[in-house]
This record gives sequence, C-alpha cells and structure tokens, in this order.
Amino acid sequence: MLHTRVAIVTVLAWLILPSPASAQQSGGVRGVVREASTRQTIAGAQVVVVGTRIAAVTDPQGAYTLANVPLGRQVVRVRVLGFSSLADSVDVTADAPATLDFALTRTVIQLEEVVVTGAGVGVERKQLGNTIATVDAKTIAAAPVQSFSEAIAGREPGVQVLPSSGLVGEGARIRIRGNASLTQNNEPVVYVDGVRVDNGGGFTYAGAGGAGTPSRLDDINPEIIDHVEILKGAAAATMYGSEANAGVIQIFTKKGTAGRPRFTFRSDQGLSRSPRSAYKPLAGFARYGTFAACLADSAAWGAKTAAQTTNCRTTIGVADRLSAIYGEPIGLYQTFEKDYINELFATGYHSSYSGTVTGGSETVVYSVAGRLTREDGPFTTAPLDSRALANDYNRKYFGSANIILYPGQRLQLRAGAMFTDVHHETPNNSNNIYGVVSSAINSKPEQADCEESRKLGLGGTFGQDPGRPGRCAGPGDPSGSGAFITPREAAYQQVVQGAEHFLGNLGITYQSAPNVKLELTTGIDVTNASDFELLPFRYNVDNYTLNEILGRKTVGNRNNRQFTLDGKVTWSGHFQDFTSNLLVGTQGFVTRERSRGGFGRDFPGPGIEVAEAGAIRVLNEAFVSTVNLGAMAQEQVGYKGWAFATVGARWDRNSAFGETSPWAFYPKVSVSLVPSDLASWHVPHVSALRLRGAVGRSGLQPGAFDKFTTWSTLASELGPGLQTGNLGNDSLKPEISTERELGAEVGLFQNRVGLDVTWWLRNTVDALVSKQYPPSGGFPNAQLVNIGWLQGKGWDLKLNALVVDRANLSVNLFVNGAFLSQRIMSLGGAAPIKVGGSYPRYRNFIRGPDTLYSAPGVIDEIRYYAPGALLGAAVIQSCAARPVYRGGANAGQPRPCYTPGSTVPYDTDKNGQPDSEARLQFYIDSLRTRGTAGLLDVLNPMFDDVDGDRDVLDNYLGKPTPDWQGSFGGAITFRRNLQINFMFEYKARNYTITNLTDAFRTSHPLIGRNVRGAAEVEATLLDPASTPEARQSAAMLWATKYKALSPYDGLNQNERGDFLRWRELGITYTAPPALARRFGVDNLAVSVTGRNIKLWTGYSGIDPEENTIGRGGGGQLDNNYLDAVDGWGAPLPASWTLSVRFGF
Amino acid sequence: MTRTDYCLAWGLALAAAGCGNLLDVDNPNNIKGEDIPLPTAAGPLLNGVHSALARGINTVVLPIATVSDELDWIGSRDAWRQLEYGDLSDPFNEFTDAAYPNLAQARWMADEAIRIMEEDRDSAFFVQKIAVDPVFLARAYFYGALAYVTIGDLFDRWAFSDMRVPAAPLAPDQMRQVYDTAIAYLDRGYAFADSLVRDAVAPKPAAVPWRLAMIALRARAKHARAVWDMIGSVPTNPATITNQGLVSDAGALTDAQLALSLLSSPDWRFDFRYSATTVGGDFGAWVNDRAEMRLGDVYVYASANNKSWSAIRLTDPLAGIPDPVLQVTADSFMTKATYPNFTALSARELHLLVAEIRLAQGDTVGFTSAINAVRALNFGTSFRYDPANVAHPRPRDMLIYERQVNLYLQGRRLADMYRFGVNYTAAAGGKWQPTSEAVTQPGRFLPLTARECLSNPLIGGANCRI
Repeated sequence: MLHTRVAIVTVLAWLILPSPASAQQSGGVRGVVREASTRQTIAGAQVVVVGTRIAAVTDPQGAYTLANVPLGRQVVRVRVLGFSSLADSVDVTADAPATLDFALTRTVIQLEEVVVTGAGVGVERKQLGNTIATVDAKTIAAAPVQSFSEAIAGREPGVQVLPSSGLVGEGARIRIRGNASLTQNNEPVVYVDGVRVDNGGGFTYAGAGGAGTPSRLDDINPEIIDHVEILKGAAAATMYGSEANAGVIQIFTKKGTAGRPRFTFRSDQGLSRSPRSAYKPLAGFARYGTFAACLADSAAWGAKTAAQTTNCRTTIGVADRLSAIYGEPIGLYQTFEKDYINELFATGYHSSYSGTVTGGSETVVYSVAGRLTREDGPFTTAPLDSRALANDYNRKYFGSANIILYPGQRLQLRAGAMFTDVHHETPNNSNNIYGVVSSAINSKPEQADCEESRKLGLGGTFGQDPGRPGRCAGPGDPSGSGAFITPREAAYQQVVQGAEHFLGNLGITYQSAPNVKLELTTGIDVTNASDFELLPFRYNVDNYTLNEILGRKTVGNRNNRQFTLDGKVTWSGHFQDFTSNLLVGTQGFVTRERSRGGFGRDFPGPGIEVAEAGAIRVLNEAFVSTVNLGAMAQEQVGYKGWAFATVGARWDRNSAFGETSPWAFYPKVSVSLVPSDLASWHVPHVSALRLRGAVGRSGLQPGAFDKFTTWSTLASELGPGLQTGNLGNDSLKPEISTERELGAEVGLFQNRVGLDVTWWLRNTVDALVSKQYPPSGGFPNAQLVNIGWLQGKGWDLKLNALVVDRANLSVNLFVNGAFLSQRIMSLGGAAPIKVGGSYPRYRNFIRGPDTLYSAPGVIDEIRYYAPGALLGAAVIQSCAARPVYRGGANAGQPRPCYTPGSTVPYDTDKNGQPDSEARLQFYIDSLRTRGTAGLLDVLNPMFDDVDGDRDVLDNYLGKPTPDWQGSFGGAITFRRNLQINFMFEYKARNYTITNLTDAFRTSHPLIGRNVRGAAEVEATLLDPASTPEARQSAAMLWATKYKALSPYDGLNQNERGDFLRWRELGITYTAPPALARRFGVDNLAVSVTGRNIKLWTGYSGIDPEENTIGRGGGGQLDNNYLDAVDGWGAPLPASWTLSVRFGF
Repeated sequence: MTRTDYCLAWGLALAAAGCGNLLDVDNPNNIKGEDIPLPTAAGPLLNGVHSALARGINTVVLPIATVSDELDWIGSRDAWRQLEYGDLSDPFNEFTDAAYPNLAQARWMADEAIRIMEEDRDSAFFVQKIAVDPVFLARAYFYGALAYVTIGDLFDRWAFSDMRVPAAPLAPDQMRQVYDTAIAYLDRGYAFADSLVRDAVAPKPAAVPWRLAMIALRARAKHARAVWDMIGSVPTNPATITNQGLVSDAGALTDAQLALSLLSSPDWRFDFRYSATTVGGDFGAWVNDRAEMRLGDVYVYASANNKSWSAIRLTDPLAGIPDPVLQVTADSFMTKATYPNFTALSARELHLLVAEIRLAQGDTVGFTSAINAVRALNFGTSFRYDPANVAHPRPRDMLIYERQVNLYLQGRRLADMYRFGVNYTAAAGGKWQPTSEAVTQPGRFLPLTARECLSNPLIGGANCRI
C-alpha cells in the first residue's frame, strides 16, 4: 500500500503545480449552430477548438460561446448526434470575440462521433475496430420512458431489455448478445461517469414471488442521462478485464454549460391499463345436481361420509349450491365460465415532476436535477376487500448534482453526486401459491362455496350474498380456490421495499503537456435496500389458508458498496503520416455486500407489525467482498486519418481466483479502415464506408468465496453445528470470452441511408460450470469448475434512412435486428444442470454434448444445445410422421407411434405398445364404472423417447431465446413543431415459451382444469350421458393438448412465442419561441406518449414477454436461463402519458 | 510523453495492481474445511451430524409416508400424487430427488465424524477431542448406524462416494450390507458407551442415554434386516414373504429386551426436535404449513375445507373408540405446526419388536404380554387372545394395528403394508393404482435419484431407472 500512496501523492502534487498556459493571452469565439435545410437552431451541439480541450455546448437557441481560445487562426469543430460533423477555421484576436456560425447537414451515419470506449478516453468512432452502440438523450426525450431500462430498450440491435410483467417498479433484465456465461451474472456492468454502480436487483429475504422485483439500475434518473455507450462484448470491453464478459454500459450524465442559470421543468401525468381479457375466464362444470345427490353417490367417495360431506359442500361442483352462489342456473356437466381474474385489474395512474438547473462561468459549470415519480399500477384489490394491504405502487425521489471546475487551462476537477430514494410495494405474485393473481388463476368456479358464511348464519342458504352474485355474504371462497389461500386472504399480505442509492464521484483531468493527459476517477456507489413482507395476525379472513395464520414479518436489508479507482495516462503524437495514442492505466474495484434479514412469526395478537414480536424468530446474515485490481495498456496507430489499428491488453488479479491461478491476461487487437475518407474515394451513391475487425478477450470471475472448501453452519437442538458446504477449488480462474467481430458501416446518398452490419463470434472457454459431484460423496452443493465451453454467434444489423428531409417534413425510419445463436460446445463431462432447482415444471437445461446423461453409444438428437434448452416429456407421435429413434441402440428403427382410426397414444395395458381404440374405451369405461372421481388423473398417455435413452423427460422441446430480435420505427417531423416517434419490437423464429400457467390450468386436478377446453374434456369423460365417440375424442384431446405436469413435465406446455409489439408512440408539439414566451417561458413542448400499445402474437398465454422470475427474482442460474416462462404473471399494461416540458 | 510521465503511469498501474494483500479476502460466513478435524470443532461437527441426520431422515420419510396410507395428497405439486398412487421408483420425482441428498449428506458426515474420531483414538489428540464430552465417539457411531439403517429401510440402492470420488452403487440384492455396517457400528459404539458407563474410576453418566439408544437401535437394525430379507431385494428379486410377514430374529429379541431393561422411562423415545433456529422438518412445512398433504383418510376425517383433519377415524379394535394414541400423535403433530418432532426410536417399538418375534415364534403369551405393554402406555384395553372368538382381533392383526398407530409417521408403515399384504388399491378405497409399483412390485422403495445418477459416472443417466 505504501508505494501506492506515494504514487498518488506524487500525482496530486504534480497536479497543483501552476499552469504555464494560464499566463498566455486569449480571445473568444461565438456563434450559432443551425440545421442546413430548415435553418432551425440546434441545441446541445458540442463545439470544440481542435487541438485543445476548450469546448462548449449550444444552448436551446443554438448559440455557443468559447472563451480562453488561444490567439491566432484556430479550427473549430461542431458535433451533434444526427448531423454530419463540421469544422471551420476562425481568426481569434484579443480585441473582440470572433463570430463563427455553422449549418449542419442531417445524416444517419456518423463516423466522427466521439465515444469514450473501453479504455475510458474519448476517440472518434471511426478509429475503433469494434462496435460501440450509443443511445443519446435526444433519442429518448420524446419517448415514453420512465426508467433507465426503458431508455435503452429496443434502441440497439443485440441489446436485449427483457421486461417480465406488468407490475410497476419492476426492473428488466439486460442482456447483450445473449449470455456469455453459463453460471455467472450475465447482467452487464454499468458505470455512471466512470464509477461502477450496483447492477443488482430484487428483494433480500422478503420477496413476492418473482415479478415486481426492482432493478437498481432504475435508480438512475433517465432525465439526467446525456448519452449511453454500450460495449457489446469482449472485443470492445477488453479493458474492463475480469468484469466484462457480459458487456459494459457506460452512462454519461448531463453537465452544465457556461452561462446564466437555465431552468427546465417537466410534468408527466398518465394512465395505464392491462389488456382486457388477458386471462382466460375460469371454467368449470357441476357434477351433481343437488347436495343430497352428491351425498348419495357414495361410490365416488369410498363411503367416507365425512369427506363426502366436505366435498359436496365445498370442492366438488354441486349445481344447487353453484346456482345459488352465482345467481343463475348451473346445469349438470354444462361448462360455465366466470371472469374472476380480470376484475383484479383496473386503471393505473402515474405521474412525475422533474426540474433541472444548469449554468456556470468560464471557471465552473454546474448541473442540478430533481425528480419525483409515482406509479400506481392497474392491479387492484378493490374488488376483494377495501382493507387489503397488497399494492402495486412505486415512488421515487431522484436528486443529483455535478460541478466541474477549471482552476487552470490544464486542469479540470469534477465532482458529482446522485441520490435516489425508493418506496416500492408489490403484491405476492407469479409462481407463488400465496399470490393474489395466482390464487385467482388457480381457482375453479365449481368449487366456489360460502360455507364459512353459512356456518355464521350469513347470507342465503349456502351463505351466498343474495345481492352480489358470485360473492359470499361474509367469509368464504367465492372464487373456488383450489388450494392454499383465497385471493382475498392473499391480498392481505404486504411486500414493501425501501431503498436509498447514492453515487458519488470525483475526477481530475490534467493536461501535463499538449499531448499528455492524466485522468483520475474515483467514486463510491452505495445501495441500502430494506424490505419486508407482512402477514398480519389472523389474516385468514376467509378461514381458508393454513399458512402462518398467526402472522409473520420477514425483514431484509442489503447494503452494497462499490468503490472505484481508475487512473489513466494518455499520450498522443504524430509521426509523419501516422498518429499514435498510447494509454496506460490502472483500475481497481472493491465490492462489499452485507445482507441481513430474518423473520418473526406467530404474533400474540392483532396490530403487530414487527418481527421481534414473533414467537418464532430466525436471523440471517451474510457478507461478500470482492477485490479486483487491474492494469492496462493500449496503443492506437492511425495512418493518414483513414486507417487505424489498436492493440491493447489488460492484466487482472481478483480475490475470487484460486490461490494457484496466475494473473488473468486479456489482449485485444482491432483494425478500422475508412476508404471513403481517402481523397481518391469516388463510388457512386456510397458516401461513407468503413470496414472493421476486432478480436479481444474479457473475463468473468467466479463468486467471491467459491475457491474455498468450507463447512457452513447448521445448528441442532443440541447446540451449534456444522455441515458440509462448498467443496472448494484452488485453481479457480475467470472464464475467458474471446470475441471476433467483423463489420461494415455504409452511408448511401449523402449519408441519408446508413447500414451498419456486424458479424460476431464469441467463445467462452474455461466456462464456470456448477458441477454436481455425487451427492453420496457428502457435498450436495455443486462446485464451480472451469470446464465449459459456450459459443455464441450472431449478426447485428441496423438500417437507418432519412427518407424525407424537407423544411416542413422530415421522415427518419429505422429497422434493426439481431440474430443470435448460442450453443454449449462442452460441459466438461458434467451432468446436465437443470435451471430452476428441483422444481420439475421448469424445463430449461444447461446440457452439453458430452454429458454423462447418455449411455455410451447414445447420440443425442441435438448434440449442441442452446443454453436453457427445453427438455421434457412428449407423447408418442402419429405414425404418419414415421418417427424413428434418433439415437441409442435402436437408432434409425421405428419408434412406437399410433395410427388414428385404429390405435391411440395410450398404453393402458402396459404392454409397451399403443392401445387399440377399443382397449382405451374399455379402460375409460372401467374407470367410470368404478366411479373414479379423478378419472383424468389416471388417464396417462404413452411417453415418447426420441433418443432411445430411456429417459422420457429429455425430449428436445425448443429453446427460450428467439433467433431474431429487434425493433423498427421512425420519427416524423411536420412543420418543425410536430414530431411523431414510434417504435415496434419483435421476437421471431425458434422461440418457445413455456406456458406454465395454462399447463396448470388445463391439467391440474385441484388448481386447474379451469379453462373451457379442459373442463369440457373432463365433463365429457365423467358425464354418464356422453357417447363413446365423444369420450374417445376427449381422451385424444387430453393426450395431445391438455395433459401436462408431473410426471409428464414439459408436455403440452410449450408454444411458439413470436410476437410484434407496438412498444412506443410519442407525439410532441414544440411551441414556437414566440408562443412559448406568451406563457412566460423560453421553450415549451407538450407530448402525448404511449407504451405497449398493441400486441400481435399467436401465443395464447397471458403475455409473451411475461417471465415468472422477473429481475433478480431467482438464483443466478434462473436469471440467466429461466427465460420465456409464463407463470401466473401480469401482462404488460398499455400506458399513456401527457407531458409538458418548459424552460427558461 | 516525458520519461517522468512514463514512470508515473507505470508506477501507478503496477502499484495498484500489485497490492496483493488487498486480494486476501476472508470468508466470514463459513468454516474452512481444514479446521474441521480440530479438537474444538468436534462438538459442532457432531451437532451438525445430528442436525443433518434429523433433516435427512425427515425428508426421506415424508415421501414414504405419502406412498403409504399415512398421508393423502391435497395440494398442487403432483409429484406427490405420483407417490400416492404407488409409483416411487421414478428418479426424476422432484421430491424424492430433493430428499435424497439430505440423507446422503448425513451419511457421509456421520462416517466422516467416525473417521475423525477414530483416526487418533489412541493419541493425545483424540483425548483432546473427547475431553469436552466423552460421549463424542459413541454419538458418532449412533448417528452413523441410524443413517445406515434408514438407507437400508427406505432405498432400493445406495452409493457410498467420498467427496469427489464416486462409488458404484450397491445393487438392490446387496443392500443387506448396510445393516451389517450399522450393526458393526453399534457393536463398537455400544461397547464404548458401556465402558464409559462402567468405568470403575470415573464413570460417565452422560453415556447412559446413548448406550440405551444404541442398543435399541441395534434391535431395530436386526429386525429391519430380517424384514429386508423378505422384501429388500426387490426389484432384483421378487418379495419372498415368509411366516405371514412376521420377523423372528433372535438377536433383535435379545437386544430389544436388553434395551427395555435399560429404559429410563416407560414411554422412552428418541426424538429429533426441530425449530426455527435449527433445521426445519419437511413434515411440518409440507403438511401443516403448505397443506400439500394431510393426514390420510384411513386415519382421520377431513376438515370442512379439506385442508386439514377434524377427527380421528381409526378406531381401536378392542375399545371401539377413536384411537387414543393416534389422537395424541395427530394433535401433537398439528400443534407443533412447522416443527413437529420426529420419533426415530421408542420403547413402544421395542415392545412391538418383542411382540412380533414372540408371535412369529408361536409364543402368544409372550406376544400378549408385549402388546399389552404397549397398550398400557396408551391406557388402552388389554388384549386377551381368544382363538375361539372369530370376531376378536387376531394377534397378527393386533400387531399390525398397534404398529400402525404407535409408529405413525415414523417411516415403518410402507414396509408393513408390503410384508403384511395391506390392500391399499383404489378398488379397495385406497390410493394405489392397479398398475403401480406398490401393487405390482411390493417391496419397492426409493431409488437412487437423478441427482446421483447424473453426477456419478459409475451409474450414468441411462442406468438411473431400474
């Protein structure tokens, strides 16, 4: 440490030396930047004196002022997104400021745009051999964006922002070019003004079930974002070393500009509404006409009188009871429907208010911003109980400030701070048996009963509320909950998170010589998130649930601190036709996270809301610390301004590596050629061309303590105890991604049409695999080992066209798409890893071609699986498909199949062959004769075994990530003042969604068979009056469409998920300055924006974007690969917002 | 760029990157593996084994109870239904697959504890280890034996791997060996505990309960081994029920009688107790909290909403009243909500072992005496064998009944249903489907589950199902 301190002190001492440049004479330059075709002024353009760091940004009137400009002839360059960069020269004198105006031409391709790159210094885009995606504030200003996640969604090919449900305040998962890691965090690392921030999410010990989980990235106020740069993979992010496999997102916040204070304000008011009829109505049928008839049917209940009485009163459809409760005649075996679920969604409301002030002088600029947002989502408990606690609500306060000081011409000091306060409430949800919506989805209308009211003497004969059909007079189960809890009881549970998020940064830039610059950035990001779940004392208001009815309070706290220290020296030089930019630097991160939590349950009485009051209490605490120290060097050589080559490397040490692991080394090299910058370039209609290639590496370190062999705590009734924990691995090292990129950018027709094409190939070797050693060896937890190989490849395509560019009308259209193919090339012989733990319904697997799973000689149907591939049960196919074994000893031989008209996909006599239709009829009849109430439970279709390995649960059923994903849209401007923006997003081809919600709803005997088709099948099979033909047909439907769940996990639960969604619409009217001034402001704009406006899909579930685990709702493996699982979630609501912006 | 700049830049980079001591991050959450053999860790190690075993037994008995008539499925997770219907050899069943590693961990930890305790038995180091508590070694033997007995009772196969080193599984017809191992542990453990109790210089009273537990467990192990001889090698060999399913094992009888003579109280039992601060029992969480199962229709009447039970159904064959011992057990089970006790050994079972062996030997007097010893604990009517009265319960039926109620939810019922031929098919009002394994292959127990097959190269996925 001592030599580090000495070095830092030396740097600081050097920095405070008086600057010789400050004594020189200088002058000024000012002017206005306009659009060439319309003469409209351009705000936010960057104006710089070339060869210096003297710069300014144009104000809302397009004006700029440059001070302290060296005397003599100077070149001034102006850049702004969407326009060609332009440079002009001007003579600067000490007498008076020179005037220099600019007229910029619109363009859709910008090779001169300055990006910061993975090395942390600004460079023109054309000099880089790798892609860097940029999202500019202007792009999102007119879009319906309420969060950081929404700000980048759909803007760039290959950057996938994955929403999960329609609950407010929920974060989205972000993936860049798919997943680079099998087991580690695939969320990109995120920097704000050079300081790494917490990119986690979710709850701690409390939790709601998956959806409604916040992302810490959404603690960033989208209003303060100037632009975002996205380094898509290892080739671009090499300089971030052991953190960067999943890509890097750099956020640059808006800074102040010199001048008088400028104020801007914005107010948003909006409504949101879930799609009507997103949920299929609850369907059921009555099995008995009267209570007495039910009791008389002793055969169905094994003569167990008490159970029979119970069942007739409650769970089994009895027509007279149901008719009374629903206030309408319910006929025997007649399927009826009740729309109970959709009543839980009404109109949501959201609002936000924000303001900024910026200004400064020649020596200091500042920017201060504040914002308040409130969202109350469409979910409501109002139809259930006015006293219910569950809520779908999110409130945030944002505050930020930054200041830049220029104590001398060679020195810049920066300081910034950002603070966010969050209050978030969400109902228990998704795959949570105590969820409000899920308990409603799991209800069966024929089970509706008001027995608890009847016992209290309330309501009608059956306890029903005579004035409100479908409701009980008091407590009861009017929805027909299949198990666990009634929706009303579930609504009495409360889940809340409060979070404070602070980011502070300090930076110094010192130009020690005209061609040498030192930069030092340090900062800290602190998140303190506390959450709780409360089950009030005796919340079982319907006297139904048995779950912790004396109440429980679970509390959790997560405190995450990330320290960043980043120092770089750059040197630039010229050698004849060559330019050189050399960078050396160091970067260090320290992450410390402490999580604490626990619960107290069984309260002594009502009104208690503290865990301490519980008779049973548990405390948990965990601590993780990771230290990463790296050094980097990079040299970039340019030739005559059109050819560039970059070589660089990073060396890393990390506290998570095993003790025998060496330094991690990540090299890179890239080439960029811009032939269109050659003086001799003349290709008709091709106004710009760049060819580029890059190869680079980055890594991802294992978990902080995975290298240790440890025993964890396991207290016993006899005292403190220990149990086997982690097997340990001394040689753990980072997994290494090597990415190759080839690409081209082409500008056509004076750059009015731009095409950006990138092909990439990524190999992640030494991939960290959670290898399960035999549990019989005593260590049941999987151990990370560097044995995997994951390959990803794809195309990023982007086409942008300025179709019309006239003074009164401009039309800019874009389309982008990303093709993604991921394959597991090796799992190092490890067993397939099931995503979602032991829960068998989730069928996503990590499986390699070299898995132990198959017997010797067995060749899988698909050798190279996509990570997260769906493997599960299938029913034998029709013989028309001529199915053969695709592996194993019988490869190529016919598989069992059925022939419609003679045989069926059942093997009820267990002879290994499909039954004849007559045999199936006999079997069904025998079940009916025996009075088997759960007839469908024992009507089991015949398993298929495609690869002949005797494992009937490993048939390939699809993959949860689409081949293609992207967006298209445009911006249309009428008469300079009216702008319409729109964007559509899509996913297409080879995209399979696990519709778990409907699998339960079609198949499950207690909490399902409540969609019309499945209810009809069951009614037909049980109805004494049904015909043999009808029963045969019902049995076929059962096998091929409705049968699902254990032991047929995976069967009939997968659907094509392709969709097209109208994601954004923005209509903005910008008032002319004269009109604005009438209102006493300098500028004024009014917008109407819409989000998630329309969905086109063949998917039959709730929403093709709904994902059951949300953002951070599961384990790491779940977050990586439990994709496209639709499980009891809420659909994305359509939202509309009216915004007013003004400034002065 | 000046030389100073270069030096400064490189110096900064290397200085920061070279701060090696920053990288030495400790893990304050856990104990390092190399510290486990230390004398100070001996107590926590054995406590951990105790807790792991408490969890392991509890988790594997729950699916067995679901297969048997003891529990009925009423929830949402239909892998329980698969078990209830009598199919229990599916290695991919989520609940057996989740349960298996717990017992596997407990077995290995128990063996490891025995190894650590035995390793330096004659050294001063060992003396240090046991200085804190002289019964450490005895406890280690007991836990190991109980793990092995449970494995033999409830599994068709087992593998004895060691950390990363896989072991080939014992075939079904080799599983008798696990009882031999258990009995060998108990021989050594009992002798050691007995020596502590009888130490002429400094007797160790703390060893008394462990000595009792070990001899009781040895009785049970020998009885279980005899049961295994009838139904244990299924599915390799069909069940060979002899003597109407009754066990006649002299060693078990001797040990049971010795244990009964050592009882500290007439209704002695060795219970595992659970709490929020130890491990949770699966029974409480799945049955009382989540209501995935409830006590079976054979035993109770369901509550109005079918989520629980309202009254005892099973009536005492002599008194004709709802069985009092079942009432106590069921009440206790429900009252303790998430954390009901789990009984691993009991005086009642010892009496029942004696009764069964006496009956198998044709000693109805001895049988009657033993069975009434149990009934006396229940304050029940005494059984008096009356061969002339056909309406009177037969001794074998009496035995089956008393085992059913006195060993309720202890993992014995399924084996009893197999060996005594209890008809639990759907046609008889039970839950087993006619084509299920419980009906077609009586004697089937839990498999080596997918988690073991797929990670153990000496098994392999294709050999997961037998």
